[in-house]
Amino acid sequence: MTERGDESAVPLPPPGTLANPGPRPPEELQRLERAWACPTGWRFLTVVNNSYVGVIYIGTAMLFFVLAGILGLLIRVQLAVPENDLIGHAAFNQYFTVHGTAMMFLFAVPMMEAFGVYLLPAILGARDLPFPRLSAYAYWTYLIGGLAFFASLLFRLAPDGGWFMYPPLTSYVFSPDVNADIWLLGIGFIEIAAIAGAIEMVVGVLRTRAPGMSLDKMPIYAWALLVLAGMIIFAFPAIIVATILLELERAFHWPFFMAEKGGDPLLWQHLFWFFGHPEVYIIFLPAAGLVSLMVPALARHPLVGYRWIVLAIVGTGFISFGLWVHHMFTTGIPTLSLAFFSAASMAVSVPSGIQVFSWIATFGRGRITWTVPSLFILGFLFIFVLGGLTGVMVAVIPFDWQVHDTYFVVAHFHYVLIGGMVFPLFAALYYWWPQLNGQTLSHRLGVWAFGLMFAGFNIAFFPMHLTGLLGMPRRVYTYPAGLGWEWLNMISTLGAFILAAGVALVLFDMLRRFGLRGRVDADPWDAGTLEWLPSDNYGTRSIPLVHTRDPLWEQPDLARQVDAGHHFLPGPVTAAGRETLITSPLDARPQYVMRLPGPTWVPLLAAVTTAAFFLLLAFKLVAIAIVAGVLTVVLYCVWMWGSDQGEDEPPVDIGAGIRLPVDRSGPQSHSWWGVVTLLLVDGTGFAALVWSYVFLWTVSPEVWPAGDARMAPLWWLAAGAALWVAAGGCFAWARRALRRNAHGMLRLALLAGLGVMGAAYAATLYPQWGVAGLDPTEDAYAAIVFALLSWQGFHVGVLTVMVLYTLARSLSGRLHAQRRLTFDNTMLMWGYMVGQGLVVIGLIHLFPRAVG
Amino acid sequence: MGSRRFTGLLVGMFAGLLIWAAHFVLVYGLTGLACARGLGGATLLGVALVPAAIVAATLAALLATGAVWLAAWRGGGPAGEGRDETVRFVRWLTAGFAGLGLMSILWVGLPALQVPVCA
Ligand code: HEM
Ligand SMILES: [Cu+2]
Repeated sequence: MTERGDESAVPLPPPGTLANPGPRPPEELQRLERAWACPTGWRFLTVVNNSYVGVIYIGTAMLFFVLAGILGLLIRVQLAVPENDLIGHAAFNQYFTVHGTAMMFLFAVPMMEAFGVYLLPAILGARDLPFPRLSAYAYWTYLIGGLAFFASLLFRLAPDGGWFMYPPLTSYVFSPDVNADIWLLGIGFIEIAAIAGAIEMVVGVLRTRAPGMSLDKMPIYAWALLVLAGMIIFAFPAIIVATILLELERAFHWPFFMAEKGGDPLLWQHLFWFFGHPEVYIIFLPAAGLVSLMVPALARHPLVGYRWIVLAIVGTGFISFGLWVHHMFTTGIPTLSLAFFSAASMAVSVPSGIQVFSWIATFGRGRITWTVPSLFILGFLFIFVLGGLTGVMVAVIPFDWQVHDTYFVVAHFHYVLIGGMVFPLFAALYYWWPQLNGQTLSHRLGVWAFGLMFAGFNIAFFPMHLTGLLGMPRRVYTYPAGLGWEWLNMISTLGAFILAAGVALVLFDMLRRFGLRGRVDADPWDAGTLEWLPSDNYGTRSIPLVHTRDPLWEQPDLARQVDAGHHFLPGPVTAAGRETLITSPLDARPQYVMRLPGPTWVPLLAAVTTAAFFLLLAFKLVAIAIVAGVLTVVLYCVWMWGSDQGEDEPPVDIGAGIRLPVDRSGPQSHSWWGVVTLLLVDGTGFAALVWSYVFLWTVSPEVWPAGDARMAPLWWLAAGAALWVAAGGCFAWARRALRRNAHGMLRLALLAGLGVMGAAYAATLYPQWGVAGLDPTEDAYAAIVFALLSWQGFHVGVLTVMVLYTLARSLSGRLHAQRRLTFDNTMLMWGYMVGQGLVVIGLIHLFPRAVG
Repeated sequence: MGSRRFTGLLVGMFAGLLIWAAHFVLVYGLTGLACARGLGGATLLGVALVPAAIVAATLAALLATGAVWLAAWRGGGPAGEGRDETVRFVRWLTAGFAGLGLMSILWVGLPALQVPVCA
């Protein structure tokens, strides 16, 4: 099938069509139920269904919110009165670091992803996310990593360098103990969960929408998740690279951040904030997306300005990448550069403003219902707008110089974070709670909780603007009396407890009413979006044909039709039993039926070994860590073994006379899209590394080689580059062989590829130490060159495993021209790795010569 | 539609914002490098080089974004193969992103005329 015609390959039935109008065979529903049955007892741990994983994911994020909140309260207790010695300074440093880190990395971002995992398939009309086991794996790594992170507090080993971990404070000279490693390795690997989430969201939003839900009809929340994923793809690699570099400096003394050896602590700040600022929007945009999903239902009016909101969300996502230096206004960066960032920081408030106006307009046109979610949304608008105003204030450079690192900033970002994310979250918890078991949370308690939280929040954090303006720095464990800070601090502490009381009330009500039931048939808000269709473990009984933005409002009788199986794919059509529809990215035309995996232990086991690997490394138990690492790789292979069943089933009928293939390979397949997304992450990380190289050269040209000293001769470049190209050639050869089902040739090509890749890598690595004599501990130049080489080496290692795995598939007869997902995935990674190898070797040989 | 065609569509749709990003990287990198090498005050025939280069880059970026906007507004832009409604929506967004890009490029470029380069 050509790519060109794909968007119109399957004609969409006209609006109102019933795909399967006749009565359904009675045993069909039972088969669907059996296929999607939730494992019980201990085996519940094998669950991969997004409705269950999503709920425990949200619950876990809530747990970390409470734990980090308790630390916030302890901080406030310590600061309530001057000269307090309740908590010593060492513990205090750990408390605010863990509080900030956990709130950002273990609560805010995961909570938004958890909501995505739970809600996304439901609002799109899909049965599950495209990679259910990946979500389960992400969840388990997050749970284990998060618990270990908090446990470090008990042993006084928690990180204490602040949530942004600036070196030199956090490097080996000033933080010789493991505290910082726990941050770097412990938090670092939880980013796996974020990236896994991003892949689910991209492929989920673009490829699993209900037929007919074209780009212009998908709920704003789906747009928000798409932008969230895009931002994770481009922001998280920067922090991952920063983390790797700092860990290399700590463990092996490679001086990336040490000024005396040509490094620069500002490199960390750039990388951190290139991630850190977008992070704020990674938290805010999906929360705003939830608000856009709730406001129409609560106001009983379709969202006003749909297109404008899409524009605003995407625009914010982009422009938020041009703001990072506003966290570095006081570091002596050139004035004009500061001015660019100041300007962009102000520009970004425009799209946020658009969203706020649109919600207000929707409330204005409809009629507001005074439910608890409405209250929290109004509270959100009030607090967030205030936080936005102080945000514009600190974007003004001289003002920032005045209040930088004071409590004014603490006040500002809690207004933005709690206003922009916690209040919408509580609205969302109230709004979607009935999906769990049909019950609504108590209105009376909810109103009280909202009152306490809203009042408590403002009482706690408004005075901090003033303490900040009066000069109180952040991150001090105590302060002397007589500076005019006493009352303000006391009031803040009182407010914090009022806020906590409000949260406790909500938690109490939730615990009282908790219960998980597969079946959802409540629609308490008369909402218009698909997640309120009657559904069960399998999602909706049939997958609706959608032609409006609020299908439940505008397509009468939809709920009944869907539940009676009159729409698409009303029952299992393959032996696997778990299936969903893959649709085209623009118009959402059905393309193929995708088989989904069922319960399995592998995600949990792999998460355990992954966590063990990183945590053991943090404690320098390298040998056992390696064992855990190897086990992880083995588990990945076990995981993948059952996938890629090939195009072995005949086409199936999904209704409306549409016959679709079961599973596909090639550029149309969901697996291809997933790998491409992963490669984007990979490429961004590599770009961050190259950028670091150029940055270090900008600040320390004196450590770069001048003339031929410390440079390998150019013929090494020629040899290395030729070998990388040849490695690429081997894969082209393998691909041709596979197309012709020439299996012996294919295996030969793969083996040759492995050999040539090894040679290419050797020709890239060896001359740098063998000929040029570089020692990575010597200066920043040698260190960054070796960082690039190690990065490429890591890819060579990954590809070796992938090729061996592909060979194993071939030898066991699981690889041929019609069953080639494994091969395609390896091929995509291979192509990327070859390109990256060429850039690495080119940069190392040519850049110093060009500038020297 | 395969991933490559879709990527092409995305690039076309986000052109205005991508140009903004490229412009941002360029002017920021230029300033940073010039100041690090002590060339912030360099002049050629009495014209301050860094601000002049920034103004030039800004004008070029504005022109490019303007062209994207115009094309999308006139019904061109990233070719869609979807239904008319979807295609119209994509065009509207293309124009919208170009408008947002235009505004942001101008806003980021302006300081070059007012603020000393390194200081
Ligand atoms: C229970 C409510 C909360 C209270 C009482 C609270 C209190 C505080 C206080 C007093 C500080 C300043 C510590 C210092 O500089 O010495 C702080 C820092 C911080 N808070 Fe909160 N907070 C709360 C909720 C949150 C939430 C919901 C988030 C994010 C979603 C958050 C993120 C942070 C961050 C990132 C820091 C900076 C930590 C650092 O300086 O490294 N907080 N919090
Ligand atoms: Cu910021």
